[in-house]
Amino acid sequence: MKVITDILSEEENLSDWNTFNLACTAIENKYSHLHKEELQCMKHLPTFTPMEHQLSTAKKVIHTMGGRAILADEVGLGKTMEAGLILKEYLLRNMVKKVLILAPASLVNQWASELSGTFYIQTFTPSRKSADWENWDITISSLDYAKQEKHASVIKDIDYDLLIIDEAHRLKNEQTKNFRFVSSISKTYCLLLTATPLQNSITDVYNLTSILRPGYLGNLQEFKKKYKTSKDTSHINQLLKQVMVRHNRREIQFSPSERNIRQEPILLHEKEKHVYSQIDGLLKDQPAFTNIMLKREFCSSLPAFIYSLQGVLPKLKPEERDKAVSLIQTLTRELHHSKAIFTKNLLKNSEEKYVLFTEFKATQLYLQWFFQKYGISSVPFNGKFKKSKREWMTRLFEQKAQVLIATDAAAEGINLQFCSRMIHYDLPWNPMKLEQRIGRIHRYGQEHDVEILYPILEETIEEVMFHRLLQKTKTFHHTIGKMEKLLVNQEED
Amino acid sequence: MESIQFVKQFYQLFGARWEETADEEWEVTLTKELDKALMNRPFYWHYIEKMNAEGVPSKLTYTTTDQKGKLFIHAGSPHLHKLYTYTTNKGRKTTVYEKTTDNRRKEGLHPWLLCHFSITYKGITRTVQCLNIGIHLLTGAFRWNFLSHIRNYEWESEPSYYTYPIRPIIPEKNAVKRLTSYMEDHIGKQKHEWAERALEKRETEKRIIEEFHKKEGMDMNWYTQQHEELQRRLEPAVYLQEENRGIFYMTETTHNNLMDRK
Repeated sequence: MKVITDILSEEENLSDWNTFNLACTAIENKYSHLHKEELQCMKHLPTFTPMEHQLSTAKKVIHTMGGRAILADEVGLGKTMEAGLILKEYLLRNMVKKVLILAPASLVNQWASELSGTFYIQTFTPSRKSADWENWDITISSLDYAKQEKHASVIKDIDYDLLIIDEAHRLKNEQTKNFRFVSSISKTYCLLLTATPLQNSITDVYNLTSILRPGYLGNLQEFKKKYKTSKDTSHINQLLKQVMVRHNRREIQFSPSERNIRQEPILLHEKEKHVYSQIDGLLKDQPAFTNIMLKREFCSSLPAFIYSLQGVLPKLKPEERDKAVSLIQTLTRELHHSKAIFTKNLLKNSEEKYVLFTEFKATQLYLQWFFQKYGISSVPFNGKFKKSKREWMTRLFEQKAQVLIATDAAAEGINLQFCSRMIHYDLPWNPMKLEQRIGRIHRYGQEHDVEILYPILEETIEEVMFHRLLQKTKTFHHTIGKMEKLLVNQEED
Repeated sequence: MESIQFVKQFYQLFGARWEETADEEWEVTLTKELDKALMNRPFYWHYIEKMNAEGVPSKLTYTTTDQKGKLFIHAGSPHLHKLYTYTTNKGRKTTVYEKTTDNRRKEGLHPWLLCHFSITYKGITRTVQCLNIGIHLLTGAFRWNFLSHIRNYEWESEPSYYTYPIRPIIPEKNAVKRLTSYMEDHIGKQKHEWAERALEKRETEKRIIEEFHKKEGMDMNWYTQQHEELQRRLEPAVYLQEENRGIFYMTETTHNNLMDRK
């Protein structure tokens, strides 16, 4: 065994016996317990009691995975805490010094206060005034900030001991700048945090894994082929277990709170049906994307639909355009929408608070106006809000309003466990977005059973989307493992 | 408890007033030197010195529970580790003489050298072990756990009356070399399962990278980077660090007691 020896320099001053003796004590205290391999960081964290699964994750990542892993617990199970434990343990053992943490801009402050408050770890965050990537030991930055050329060029020349990426599903596509930037960073240990390692396709997982262990899942083409031709995914599952830790709520029983899911079929009004059936004819020569988009918007709200249709007008042929204009004119006179009426009645008859998610800004505005007309108080929420406004709106919702109307951009990073009801007013294409949404209320601290409602307009694009989502959640289930129920009839597998 | 005990000893040693102000609560007024070393306010002291003023060192309150505005002392508190660092920097080397009250006859004191080592074993994770060992500078005899033995006696920076230090036969430098190679030998003889585990993991991962490199025609830059990262992460290594060192001149009696110990 090769030993690297380092002895004291000649220049040290002589001290007296008391100082020397106390220095010996300091050295012994500093290293006490570190002769054991088991996790020692808990001895240094007197105010933090981690959950069992968080400890076991930290142990597994450090001891069996060798410090490179995807932390993929479901939303709300404390992935940040797991990363904090691992970081603390590595610092304690002097295994890391230079650390880079990349998180969404809205979560940078949360990371900093969690690390300093719970883990006693001091961090730095770059700003316009100062960004000392080379000299700061532990830096937290947003991915978007760090990847700017002037910063990226500095970061590329630094050897990081530990790289942590929060919300790492933003790296699922190997063609993006995000992905290329992150893979170019030199790192020893690496943690990727995401509740949704597989968003749309199996290549997402492939790409995340290739940041940690390039080549581990073979080459991309072969990997895709193998997966597509065989129904048997247990092999991939087995492989992924070596690089990914995932827990779901049910498995760890962190909360007595159940998840009840209800699907509410809603029939379109005759007039609405008539308009809906005209969409195909109107958009004969338009790309399928436009067609689907307009149908989704129609199912969401008339303002959302009209707004987009107006945008499409110039591209239409003259006679189609005339039809469309007269359609818009009829619609502006008929402003009730079956789903809005259904939702309004539901809210009117309930004392409970609701979080409502829509995909469209126009729908958000419309519902605010519509609810107000019936005396239902609501607050809007979107991802563009600054931190202080987010907090203010959350408080307003908690204390004053019955409904929080959020667009999807708001799904990451807000905690609303004081509310236990959710309406998925529109459906996204990506099933993991649903989990992100539900995670806002079904998380640590939720004391009631959670009710999730899907109002689905019958015989429309919404039905199609719902089935597509079911398909996708099945893929997820097979490759990543069990997950909480997202959609009603998911129980049978 | 061990931690707050250390803080108390620290201030007693470095001359700051330490008072118990309530149950499990202590207050200390720092000295100017400690304030400069611990409080991180260079601008204040710079300004004070420019103004030729006295300056007011900080007052700190310590507790053993988590309370606002007070320093919470526990094994992991950053402040405590600052004190550790300050102390170790101050106490790297010493030369001391055993205090003796027996002044009936002139007595020569035996020279011993103590080295306090930390050994870091770096594999998949890292473990650290502290070891101290003493060497008799006349005969070259070794004793493990030297520190626990000499802590039973009193030591001073000047020899007591009627005693004189015996000049070492083995020079300090050589003695340190003997001790380090003795340690290296000692380490070499151990069984290193942790290293085997790291090597095994490294080989598995290396094979994957090499295969991928060949098959996908990744460029040399990519290969070098992957390889370096792998080495940093899983190449087993042992670091032997000398933490502090002292020369102890002791009476024949103490020397004999030490030699009698197994």
